Amino acid sequence: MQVKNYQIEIDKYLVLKYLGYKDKVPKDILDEVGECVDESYGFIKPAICFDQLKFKFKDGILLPDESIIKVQYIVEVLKRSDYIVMAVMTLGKEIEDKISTFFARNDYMKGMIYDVIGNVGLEYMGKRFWQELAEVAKKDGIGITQSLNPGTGGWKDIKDQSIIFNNLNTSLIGVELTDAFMMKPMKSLSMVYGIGKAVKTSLVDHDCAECPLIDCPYRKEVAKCIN
Amino acid sequence: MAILQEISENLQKGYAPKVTELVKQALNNKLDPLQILNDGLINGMNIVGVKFRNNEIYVPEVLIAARAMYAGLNILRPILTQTGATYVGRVVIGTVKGDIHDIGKNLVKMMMEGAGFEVIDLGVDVSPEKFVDAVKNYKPDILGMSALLTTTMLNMKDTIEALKSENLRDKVVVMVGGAAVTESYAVEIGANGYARDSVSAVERAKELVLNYK
Repeated sequence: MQVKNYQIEIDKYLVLKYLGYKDKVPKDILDEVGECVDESYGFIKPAICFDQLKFKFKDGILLPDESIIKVQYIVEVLKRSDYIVMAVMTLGKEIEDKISTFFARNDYMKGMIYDVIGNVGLEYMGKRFWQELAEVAKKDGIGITQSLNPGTGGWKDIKDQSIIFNNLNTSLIGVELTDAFMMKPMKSLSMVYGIGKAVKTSLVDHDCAECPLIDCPYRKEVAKCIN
Repeated sequence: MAILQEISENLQKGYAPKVTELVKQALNNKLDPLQILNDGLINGMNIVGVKFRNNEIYVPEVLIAARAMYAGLNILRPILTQTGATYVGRVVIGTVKGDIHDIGKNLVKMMMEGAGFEVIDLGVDVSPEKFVDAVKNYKPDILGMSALLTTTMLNMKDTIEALKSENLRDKVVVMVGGAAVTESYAVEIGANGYARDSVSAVERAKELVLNYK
């Protein structure tokens, strides 16, 4: 298993987009979001742990620790892979504390801005990690799936979070799984990718096509592949 | 009254320092604190809510207006408490057991307070027992439950069942919301109301309190 710290970039305009702005942004809001983005670099601590695992295709995706991913949609996406990569990434606890503090003080504006900054940061990190894996895969002449996350999109069973957490030592990056299969700190992501010769590389790191939340401002949907 | 109109307008623009100044001025002019609240702050937040619903403004403008609203409310609250002024209604709110997401719940709390409700926030990961205890202790008009995920929203039903077991179900209006929750799920579990966002939650809460009081 590997652990890496990351430098990330927060796109202020993406933060504004996720806050609901489509075009003209009032100057005071632009300034406030800009200040929050600048400050956030001081307390966002991006880290990731990941591992490469072989599997057998037997009643699902059978992993070395004998746990099985059985959700049909995920099995279909992963079954042609030569191996899978499991990862958990986080922005750390400080941003979560910051968000809670602002909400507790009834400063909903700052709380909301930092919450969206956290989402943008995780999205950036997820995309960058996927791109790194995709570049290596491309050099090796193989493909990589989109990221697959338990509890979202086609991976309906959030209990499968425990499969990822049982296969990674996430305490090294300070992430734990609650009894209800949620990650703490909240600004964390877990994912699985399939990699192999028979895999067609996804056009995007994450595809929301299977998610029923069609009005979600974070929705990304590209159901196409490049090879 | 011009100063109340001014409070409302400055609140809508999110000018917190100006709202603070105007509320103090209104109190110095011996205006009734309840009138300042209703015709100044609540009036302003109501207009903000309507503009948001009509897509005239975005979430940040609502939040900046709320910041101005709290600036005024922080001055008025101690005085209103002393005078025993009544709220539109009392709401107990929380995110259900197993769920630690609270952004949606926080926004509903904010809009409810902006509409003149007293809100008791139980936080996140609230068990059915804790909701039941809060209904016993605070005797709210409304119990609001939030859940982000389909797995955790099942605890809304458990809470309603727990209220029934304690013969409290007909003593409180139950409202539910959250990304995974739908109107049909609310009906299925026997909730009185569902709202898809914080603004419609306030509108629905007002209707329900009027009908059930």
